[in-house]
Amino acid sequence: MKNFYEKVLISLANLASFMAEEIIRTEIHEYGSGVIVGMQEGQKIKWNDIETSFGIHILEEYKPSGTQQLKAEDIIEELNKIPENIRKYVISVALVPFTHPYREHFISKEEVEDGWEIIGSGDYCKNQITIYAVPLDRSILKDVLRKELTLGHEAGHIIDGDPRAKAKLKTKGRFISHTPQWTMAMCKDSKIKRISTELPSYFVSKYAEDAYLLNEDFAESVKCFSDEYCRAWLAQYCPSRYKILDDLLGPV
Amino acid sequence: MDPSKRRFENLPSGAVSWEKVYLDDKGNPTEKEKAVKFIISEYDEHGELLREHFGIKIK
Repeated sequence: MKNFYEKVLISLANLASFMAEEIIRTEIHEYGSGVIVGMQEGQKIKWNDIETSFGIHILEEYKPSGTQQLKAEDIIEELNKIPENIRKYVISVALVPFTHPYREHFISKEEVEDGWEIIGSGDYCKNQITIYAVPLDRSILKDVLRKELTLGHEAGHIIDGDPRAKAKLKTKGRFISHTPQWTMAMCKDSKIKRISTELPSYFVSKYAEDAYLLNEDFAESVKCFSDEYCRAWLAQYCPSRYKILDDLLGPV
Repeated sequence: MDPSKRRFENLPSGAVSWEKVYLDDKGNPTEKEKAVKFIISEYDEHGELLREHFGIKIK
């Protein structure tokens, strides 16, 4: 009988992990830089504050100025592609009507002329993802978010420092990626033989290896865990990291 | 991390340094001429990540 109840509980947990985000309420609020990352001090905009079933707030202009091509439903569609146990850590996604506030600082004139643009940001104090206004077609922008698994990577950074996640793993310190559990997992995984010599041996991806940061290794691992195909790769080649993420973010 | 890539300057976000990494279509670091996207990371005084920005080449 105990087995039966265990199976029912696991089934319910699995069902919950596939439940889709839906809009449960929309409120109109005037927010400034205290709420929206990237807004200038003193600037205020009226926003549609759209709350989803798992408590994520999607913020879009109340009166669209036309500069932001993406809509709240596009973000909900993308959020629904990553497991609920990952996306629930994101507090808000802001679809802002302006370009990145330090665009001129971060991108040189030549780069702007060459067509480089900042699409989005992840802020790990506010657990917020900001998507900037970029002069590209809506379908192309949706494609960029999907292909790059941007939301999964940014959610990874948010989870890394989130108190709820740290409590679940019973770890202390500012980041999960800086704990002995994570570094030990990286060390164990580095002993697994890889098919290709092009793959990094210690970090989970070449980007994390180049950045040489534990935070990037964790975010890239969560990004991989958020995607069905990449998750299978992670389970095979990074089983110790997979075990930690499965304990933290499973079932998926 | 290549320390020469890190730029030390105070930013309005409270960050004291930042770094830009160019990536190819597979997400591997590469030189700017071959890149299709970049990631900019902002760090606090302890070198811990504060924010990350993601960009692409749109032309």
